[in-house]
Amino acid sequence: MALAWLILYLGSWVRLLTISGLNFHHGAVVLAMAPLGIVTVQKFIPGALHAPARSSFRWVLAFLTGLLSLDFAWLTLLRFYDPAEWQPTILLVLMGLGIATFAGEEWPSDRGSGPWLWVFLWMLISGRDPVLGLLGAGLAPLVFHWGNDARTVERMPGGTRAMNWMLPLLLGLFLPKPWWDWGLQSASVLPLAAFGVGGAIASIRPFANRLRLMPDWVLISTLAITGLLYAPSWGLPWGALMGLLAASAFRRLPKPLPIGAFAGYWILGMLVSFILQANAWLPGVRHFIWLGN
Amino acid sequence: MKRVLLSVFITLVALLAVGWPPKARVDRPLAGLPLVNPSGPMEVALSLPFVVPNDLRQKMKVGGFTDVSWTLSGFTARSLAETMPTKPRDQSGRWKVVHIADLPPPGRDDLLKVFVARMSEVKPDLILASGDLGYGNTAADFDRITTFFKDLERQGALVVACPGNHERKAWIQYLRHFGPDTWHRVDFGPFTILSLDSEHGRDQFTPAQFAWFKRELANTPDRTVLVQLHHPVFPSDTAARGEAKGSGGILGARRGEFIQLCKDAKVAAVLSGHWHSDAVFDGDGRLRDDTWDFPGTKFIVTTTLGNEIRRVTRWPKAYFGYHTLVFLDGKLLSYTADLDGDGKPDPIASEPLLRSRYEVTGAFPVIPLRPLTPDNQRNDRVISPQPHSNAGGR
Repeated sequence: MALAWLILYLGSWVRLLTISGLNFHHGAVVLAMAPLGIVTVQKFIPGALHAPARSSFRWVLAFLTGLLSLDFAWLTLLRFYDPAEWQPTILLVLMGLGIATFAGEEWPSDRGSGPWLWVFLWMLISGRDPVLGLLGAGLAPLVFHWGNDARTVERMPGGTRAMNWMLPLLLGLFLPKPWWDWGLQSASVLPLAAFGVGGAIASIRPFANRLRLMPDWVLISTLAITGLLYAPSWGLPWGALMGLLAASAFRRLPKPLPIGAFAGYWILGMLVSFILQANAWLPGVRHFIWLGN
Repeated sequence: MKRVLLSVFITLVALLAVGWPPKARVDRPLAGLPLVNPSGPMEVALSLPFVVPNDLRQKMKVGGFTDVSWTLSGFTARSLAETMPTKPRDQSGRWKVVHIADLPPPGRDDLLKVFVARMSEVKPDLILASGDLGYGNTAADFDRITTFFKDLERQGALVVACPGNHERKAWIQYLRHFGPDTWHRVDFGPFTILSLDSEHGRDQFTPAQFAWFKRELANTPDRTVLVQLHHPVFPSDTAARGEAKGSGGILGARRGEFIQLCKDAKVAAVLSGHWHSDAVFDGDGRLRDDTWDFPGTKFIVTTTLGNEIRRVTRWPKAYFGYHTLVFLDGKLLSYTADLDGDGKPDPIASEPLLRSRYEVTGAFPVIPLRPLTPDNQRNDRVISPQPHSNAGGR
């Protein structure tokens, strides 16, 4: 669920906001920033809902989240989402609340290539319209909750502490580059779909075992260098390699994932990435993400 | 396996639910892309793959769009009927291309009307609008500009537009009115028009856009290529005067490569706005206020059509205006105005929009046409202060 929350929901949310621009004269635009607040208090959300007695409530919540995402996508499909419009923005925020309650959990269905293939599928679909990425996020609780309950959460200590913040920060910094690069063209999502494929491949045992031999610092450095070397003509292999490395890094994280902090670093990385690509009056610094510019 | 089937089932049901009833968004032809005379492909995004709404089906039938190639997002159709003119409107065989930028802000519709009237006399084949199209942020402001473009296209001129920095302030409205193709190619008559998005803040092309530009430029055999982008390519540099530091923003990156590509491809003209001031540079970046006639690509910066007038270079004349480029047999015959009436084009000068101070009346200031002297400073403009000074940016 963490992947759907991070990449499909928070990723698509930041992308939509950067497309639309932020005019805080509209109350709805202020509301559209609410996912930032959700991320801030996120570590308190799942715990309150983990009790097995509430599993029927969780089903209802997963179903409602799916419905909200359907309604949001229906309203905004082919229209270019405008955060200044109240109705879709309210749906977007409510849907975010729904997904956030599931985001920090680790179910048996989360292991393996399933979540990566879900990212691949919905990134590909979002080439038709960026709002469809959010639909994929909204449907994820329903799909991944199926056959699981909250008691199956496993607890595992994580790898190095640096990995917990460097991984989301680097992914946030580099993964949206095709979005900034291609704008609304459907080619913008192909590297991120390839990212899902790379992650799925890395979840296959022989690959996973080999990647496990890579030291943390080598893994993170390779991820950073790969992220830096993005070029539009190499989008697919770039995305697949990023996915391969990211999936291996994900397996080294503690479980349950400290989702609030993780999401915070991911958003921070995305925002820095956007500021750098927008040049934001920092001449020279943009080279950090646009090599050769 | 059950979970895979469930995932696929939920995905399909969700896509059907979201896409029903079938909707379509026509991304081309569109205002500024151009609208009235389809210049080739019709690009449509569909809410459901392969399902075309009935009203669009009818439109396609009427327009003769039959050659359809499908994608999962929608389709591209081509008209078998030849709708594009192959001859210029001018009987002498001259093609006229008018270039405008930095259009009048909301409340200055009188200037738009004057321009429409002027175009009915000039009879251009093509009008290029290089960004800062309206300075407004609301849907009504953008409707005003698309109506303006439609008025021009009804007269028989195609309008091709690209975004400027002010469009970024209401980007959703821009996308809704002008479509998601913020950089695009239009082939018309002997011309290939490559419109670029030099983007706000960045003032540069993204790597993907630049790669697209290179690819398209390499695919223009025997055509007259015109490139438009909002930001000027060359700095005012040693020719700087007046507000050069305040509003003299230029293309921020990949400039050298861009210039070389344009020179190598023998691009006839690279057209920009943004400065609210006329300027013409040669391929070496020199301000050509000595002559209008020099070899190679012309890098033309056109003054505003009706917003705040500024002074960026040593060129002393400032007014609302537009450039008219005249082509014969693929050659650029002229692109500047003959202000002194000696029968020869002056360097740099655009055509003044207003012929006299009395042409625009009412609440708006009159604009006397008189040259600035080189010593004039920013407070000594030829134009009195305007009520709608929305200009900004670098």
